[in-house]
Amino acid sequence: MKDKIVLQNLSKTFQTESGRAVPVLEDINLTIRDNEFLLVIGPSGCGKTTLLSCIAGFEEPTSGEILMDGEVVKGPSAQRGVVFQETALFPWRRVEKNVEYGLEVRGMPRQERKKIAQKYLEMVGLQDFADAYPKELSGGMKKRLTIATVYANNPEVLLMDEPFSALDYPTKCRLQMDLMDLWTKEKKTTVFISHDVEEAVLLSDRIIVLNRHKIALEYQNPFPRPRRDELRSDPKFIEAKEYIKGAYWNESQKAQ
Amino acid sequence: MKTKGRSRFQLCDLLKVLSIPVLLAVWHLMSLWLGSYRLPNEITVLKGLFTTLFSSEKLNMAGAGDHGFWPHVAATFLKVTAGYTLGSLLGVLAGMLMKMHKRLRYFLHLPIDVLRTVPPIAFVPILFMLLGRSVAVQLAVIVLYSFLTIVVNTMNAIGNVPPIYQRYALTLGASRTRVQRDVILPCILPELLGAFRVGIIWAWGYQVIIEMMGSEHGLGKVFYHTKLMNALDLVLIGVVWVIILAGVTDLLLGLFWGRATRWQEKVKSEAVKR
Repeated sequence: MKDKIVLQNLSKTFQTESGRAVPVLEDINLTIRDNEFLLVIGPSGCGKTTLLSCIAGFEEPTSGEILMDGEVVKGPSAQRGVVFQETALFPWRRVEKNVEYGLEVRGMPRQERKKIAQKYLEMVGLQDFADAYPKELSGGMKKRLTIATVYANNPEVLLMDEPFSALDYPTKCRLQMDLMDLWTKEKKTTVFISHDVEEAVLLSDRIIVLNRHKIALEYQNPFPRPRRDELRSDPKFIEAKEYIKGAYWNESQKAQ
Repeated sequence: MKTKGRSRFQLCDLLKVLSIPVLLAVWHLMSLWLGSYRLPNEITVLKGLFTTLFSSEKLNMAGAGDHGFWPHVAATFLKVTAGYTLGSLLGVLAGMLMKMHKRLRYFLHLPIDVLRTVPPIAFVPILFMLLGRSVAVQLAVIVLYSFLTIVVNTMNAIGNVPPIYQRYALTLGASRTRVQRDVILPCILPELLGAFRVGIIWAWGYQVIIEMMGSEHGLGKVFYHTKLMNALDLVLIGVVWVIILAGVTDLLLGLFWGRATRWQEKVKSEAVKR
C-alpha cells in the first residue's frame, strides 16, 4: 500500500496581533497510507484542526512540508475534499444542484452530472429532497448533503473536521454508520478529526492522539470490518475506548 | 399561519387596504374645507390623470408640449431606471474589484467616502454649467448617486459572506474567480437588492429636482412650468404620477426580491404566536 500523504517535520506557529508566537504543532512526522481511515483525536487546542487545515492547504506550515502523492501541498484542491465542522453548503442552490457543484466546475455535461448527483443523493438517503432548498433540511440532513457533495466530486483524499460533533447522539450514530457504509463502497484515504473516543474506535483503521503540539499515541485499530452498531457495547470495544481515553485524559491533565 | 375563525381573517384583509379610502376621504374633506380652488379634490385629480395623459391644453400653454403627460412620465421613468440600474451595475463591479485588489481599494477609498456624503443635487448646478443640460448629464448625476451607494453596500455585503462558503467552493475545485461568481455574487444578491430598492426611492426625487433645474422632458419640467402658471391641478397630477412610478417600481422590485431570496431562512414576524 503506497504512502498517500506524508507529513515531514511539520511545525506550525501562529503570530498573534501583539506579536506573540503561539506554537500549535511541533515537528509532526506522519505517514498516511492509501485508503487508510486515520482518526486524529485530542483535547481542545491540541492542534488537530490546524493539522487538517495544513493538509487541506488552507494554512502554510511554518516549517516542514506536507506531501501528497509525492508533491508538496500548496493550496486547496478538488483532490482534497473537506467536510467542515460547521454547515458548509450553498443555501442558494437546491439540494441536487449542491451535489452537482464540483462536477459543474469541472465542466461535466448536464445529463452526466444529474446522474451522478442522483446516485450520491440515494447513497445518503436524500433522494426525495433533490429539489428542496437546504433551508428545509435538518442539521443531520445538511451534513449528509455535504458528504454527498464532497463524495460526488470524487476527491482522492477525504478530510473531515469533527463533522458530527454538532449533532445529537442518535443522529450522530446513524451518520457514523452511514459514513462507514459509504466509505466501504468507495474507499478513500480519510483523515477524520474528532474529540469523541467512541467515534474514534468505531470508524478508524488507526488512531493518532495529538497532545501538546505532538503525537502522543498511535493506536492500530484491531477490530475487523465491517463494524456493526452493536460493537459499541462489546466489552473489548469498551476496553479499547478506556485505553485511548487514558492516554487522552492523562495527557490533557498533564497539559493542565 | 392560521388565524382563528372567519371574522379575524376578514379584519386582517380589510386593514391592509383600509388606509387608502381613509386617505382619500381626508383629501376630500380638506378639499371641501379649503375650497376646490385652493385644493382640487381627489376625484378631479384622478379624472385629470386620464384626461391629460395624451393631450392637455393647459400643459401646452404652460410650455410642456402638446402631447400631454405621457412623454414626460416616460422620460422620467426611463431616465431613473436606466441611470440607476447602470450606476448600480458599475457599483457592484467596482465593489467586487475593490474587495479583491487592495491597492485599488486604498486609492479609491477616500474619493468615494467624500463624494458619498455630498447630496447629489449639489452636483447639478456645476455639471449643468460645465457640460450643459443634456439627458446624458442628467443621467450622470443619477449614475453617480447609485454608484456611490451601491459600491459601499457591495463591499460591506462581501465582507459579510461567511468565509466557509468560499473555502468549501475551493475544496470542490473552484478557482478564485469562480468563487466570485458562484459564491460571492449569489450570497450578496439579497442584500444588494434591498439596497437597490431603498436607494431608487431617493432617485425619483433627485431626478425630478434635476429636471426642474433644466430639462427638455420629464415630470420635473412639468412641475417647473405648471408652478409658474400656478396650475395646482396639473401639479397634483404630476405628483400622483411620481407616486405611481415610484410605487409600481417598488412593488415589482419587492416581488423580484421575494423570488430572489426564497432560499433564505426568514424569521416570520408572527412566529411567536400563542
